Amino acid sequence: MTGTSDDDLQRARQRLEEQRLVEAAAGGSTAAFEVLYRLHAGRVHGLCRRMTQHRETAEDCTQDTFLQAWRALPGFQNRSAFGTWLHTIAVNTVLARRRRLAPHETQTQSLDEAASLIADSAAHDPAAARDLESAIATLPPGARDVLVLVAIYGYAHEEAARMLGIAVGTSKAQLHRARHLLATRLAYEGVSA
Amino acid sequence: MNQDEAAPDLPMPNAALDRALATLPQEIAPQRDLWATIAGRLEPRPDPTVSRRGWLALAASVVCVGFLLLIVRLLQPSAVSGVPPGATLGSTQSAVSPVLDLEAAPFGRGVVLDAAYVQAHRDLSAQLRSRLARLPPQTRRTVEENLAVMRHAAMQINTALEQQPGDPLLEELLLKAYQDELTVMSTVYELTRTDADAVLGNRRLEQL
Amino acid sequence: MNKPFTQQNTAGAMTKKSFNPSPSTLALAVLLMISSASGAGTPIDRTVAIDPLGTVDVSNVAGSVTVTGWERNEVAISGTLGKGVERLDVNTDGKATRIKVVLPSNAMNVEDTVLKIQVPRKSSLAVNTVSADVTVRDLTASQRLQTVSGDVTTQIAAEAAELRTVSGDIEVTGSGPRGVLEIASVSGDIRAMRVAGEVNVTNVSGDMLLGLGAVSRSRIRTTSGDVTMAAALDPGARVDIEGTSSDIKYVSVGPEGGQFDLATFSGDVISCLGPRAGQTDRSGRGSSLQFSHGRASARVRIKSLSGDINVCDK
Repeated sequence: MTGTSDDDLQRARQRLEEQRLVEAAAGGSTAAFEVLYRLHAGRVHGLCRRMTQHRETAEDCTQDTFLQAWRALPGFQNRSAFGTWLHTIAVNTVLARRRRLAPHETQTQSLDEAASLIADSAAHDPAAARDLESAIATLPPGARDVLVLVAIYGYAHEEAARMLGIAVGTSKAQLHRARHLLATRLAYEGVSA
Repeated sequence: MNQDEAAPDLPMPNAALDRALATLPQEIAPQRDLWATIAGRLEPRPDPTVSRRGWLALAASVVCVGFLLLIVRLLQPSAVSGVPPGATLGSTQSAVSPVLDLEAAPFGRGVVLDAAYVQAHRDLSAQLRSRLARLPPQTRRTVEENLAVMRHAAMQINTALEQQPGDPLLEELLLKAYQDELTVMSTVYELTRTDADAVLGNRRLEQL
Repeated sequence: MNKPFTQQNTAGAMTKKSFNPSPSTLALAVLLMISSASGAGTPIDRTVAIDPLGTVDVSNVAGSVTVTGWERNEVAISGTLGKGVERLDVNTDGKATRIKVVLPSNAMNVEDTVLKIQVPRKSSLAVNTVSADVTVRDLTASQRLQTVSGDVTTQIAAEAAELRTVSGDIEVTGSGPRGVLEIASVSGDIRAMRVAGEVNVTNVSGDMLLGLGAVSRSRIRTTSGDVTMAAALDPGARVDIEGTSSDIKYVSVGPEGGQFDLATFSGDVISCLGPRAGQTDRSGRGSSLQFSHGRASARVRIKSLSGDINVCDK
């Protein structure tokens, strides 16, 4: 997550290549858009998955994000990174769905869903991921949203707040709360320093 | 839970928790490939004619696809790879010169380059220069010689273009020369990591 | 119950982190450290049980790395740790295994390390070295082999393989089935025989000798190195070869042939195929030739600036 020189290099290359692809896709090339999809689908889906904690919803969110991106692409000004722009759309999609549904539906955290999220992300580092993912799944949505954007996806509070439509101070407070809850719950489960 | 608010010292230090959070995977591949559904619902663009700049962007994106597929493969091993259909660069395309911004050409007279390309080229060159300084002399020489070979090749193509402006073969070769140089620079950079071990290993080689 | 393991952060320094897995954790973190504080070249002899479908990551600086596939669900490491090497790290969680030669922070006189590693035949392999040569045999899954100046020699099966060097030579042999092969070098010579499927090769100044069977897609890029390529194409295959001052010789094998689009700006095009066989096509704008040969649903494009292009079926 820390910016190494390799990441900087990769980013410089990707900025240039992505600009080409975005131009081509904005001009109508679905082939170029597919390459953009392949590059970003994993992260977009990961973000949707962690925010919604629900597999099917996350897949719908991912599809909707890319469809909206396709429509809006001609207006994309390259002021922000393309990935950040996609994530903004994804976050909006998730929040809009939450607002539409009755509150009790979004708060349901079935054990099956938590377990499947753990299974899908556990290939990375099974030991750490299982405990942490299950603990994240139990967080209330507001705290979890900020934790996902800031602590996992590396966004600054200013950006996360903008994406979530909250104040920067609220974002910081939610993150503090999320870490506090995680630490407590992980300790409760027998994980200690 | 009331105990959350009243919790005393955190049992796990924040630094360790933050590290653990930062190492969670950002990428989670969907269980099934969603592209087919998305592709079926992409509305066609109202204006089918591709502008001159658009053609170059498309051409460049096609040329870039190879490198990007490499990135894709590294990021998402299950991703389907393949050159987009209908993407062959043919000499039937209208002649387009890569004039997208005014900037002194690193490759020679008569060519102006896209600002984003120039910036990427500049970034890469700087990164590579500091990396090369730490490598054993022989490797550094090899890399510098070959980068010079590439620049010379691009200059030769440019010179030919001045004699035959708009020649599709030359424009295609020039576009690829630009892309190749960036690719080679980034490949060399990746292969000569600033891994402490690699650096120290090379230091040992220099002293022999 | 603490199970300490060593973890490497992105800057390369080693950090120690204690982690208590919860009872539900199934993964196993094992640390094997071999110290060579005595200073003499230390023989290596370690064996660890691992998953037959896991990944193996090997990192060495100078010396050699030889990886051979076998039927056991184990990684066995032998060889010699070079004098002055701090240690050989072997970490595994059962699925992912990392083998890394670690040099001390003050590496004054470090000698070559010879790593001979046997891994489960279906392991995915990644090897990174600086000058150590890399040799791989009898593996059937994906490989990523990278060096700066070491030579790379490998056999591949029908999977993805990525081979990259700055100045090392690359030699790869396929067994026929199709895979995806990416080769990149700056100045190394490249030799690929009996590989099939999608084959992409890039270098700047080394020479290429490529013998491809059942090619579906191939992109060959060079600047000044020469290319000699023989290929049996799939129907509908796409082959693109480009060089600047390179001489390119293409031998068409098999019934497919292809639609040929050949152009060099200032070199010669010589073809023993097609309607103008034997004649060099030259116009004011350089040499170009287009013709069909064989069943011709494939497309072969060869472009050069000043090199010659030579196409024949033998």
